[in-house]
Amino acid sequence: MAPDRSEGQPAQELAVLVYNELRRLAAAYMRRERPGQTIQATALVHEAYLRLADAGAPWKDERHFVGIAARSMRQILVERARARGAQKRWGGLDRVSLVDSLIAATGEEAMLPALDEALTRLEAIDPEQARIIELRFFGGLSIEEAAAAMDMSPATLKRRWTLARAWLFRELSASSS
Amino acid sequence: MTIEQQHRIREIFEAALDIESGERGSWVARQTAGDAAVRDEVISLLDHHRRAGNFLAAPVVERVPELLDEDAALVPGTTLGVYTIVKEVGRGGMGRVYLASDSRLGRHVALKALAPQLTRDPMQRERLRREARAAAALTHPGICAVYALEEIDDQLFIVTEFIDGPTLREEIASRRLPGAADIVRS
Repeated sequence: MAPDRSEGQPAQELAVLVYNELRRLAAAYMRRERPGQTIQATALVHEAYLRLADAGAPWKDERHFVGIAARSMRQILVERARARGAQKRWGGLDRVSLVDSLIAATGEEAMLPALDEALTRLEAIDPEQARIIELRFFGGLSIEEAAAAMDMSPATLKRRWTLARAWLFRELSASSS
Repeated sequence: MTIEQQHRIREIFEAALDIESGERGSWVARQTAGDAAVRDEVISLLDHHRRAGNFLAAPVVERVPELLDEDAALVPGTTLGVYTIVKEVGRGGMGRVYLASDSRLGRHVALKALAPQLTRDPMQRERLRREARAAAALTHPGICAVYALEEIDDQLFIVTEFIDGPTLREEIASRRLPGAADIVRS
């Protein structure tokens, strides 16, 4: 099963459209909400979907949209991390600090390029697992939402997510020299 | 590793999640009898699952505001009126402090800017103004001199004397806490 790219739409163009909308909405949330309050990622994606659907963007349905939104977030956040020298910071960590930082989920930005590369390797082995990670980590979908998007039961999705996460954790903890 | 083996690994790993952790090792060994490669891979993945902590636990999209905030930092070379940003020297929940050069007077100054998400909040702006006025009313060698309160391009910041040195946090970390005598003397 090939990963759902853009189903005929120019992927990069859609990605930029989605990203700009998400970015604009996030900035609006920041001005509106109290400082320190976290925004609901799914609320953001849903709102972006409604706005872009109104604007006549070519989405089949919200399910199709969240897949593209998650992939867009992956591309753009990874590119942004690369531009900010993330690989250098990540590569500079010794093995112990690297594993600690993975476990504590600190310094995530520095990890993004390495995660992206590992995810591409996972895609080659099992595209379904890679998509689940994309939807949940980059798209912010819950187990139930991701299960609906992937057309599988929440229990199955949760197991597969657990497997993909263990696989990626091993890849990334071994990635330091 | 063949496709069949990959499928076996996935199947056994996922089923093993329902087995009590103390029993998993022997259970997996029984399921994978005759295929050491599959057994080792499942054991290794279960081991990494056990140790993964908060890895990927929180979606990265939830951090988008924080990342946008990073983007909002003034990069070296940016000019704001007569000030040119040299570098960022500190940051906190309220905002950031930059070392900048004042082209008019040809000297280095410190710019204290409110965090971007606070600049639109009238109360926070008033708080910064009050801080500037209060500090400007004081003259003491132990207090850095306030030069100006500036509003440029919607950004509000305090311009003060630039004093280099360790932060209080660094002082505490270095375990050279100032004694009462040091504090009274200054």
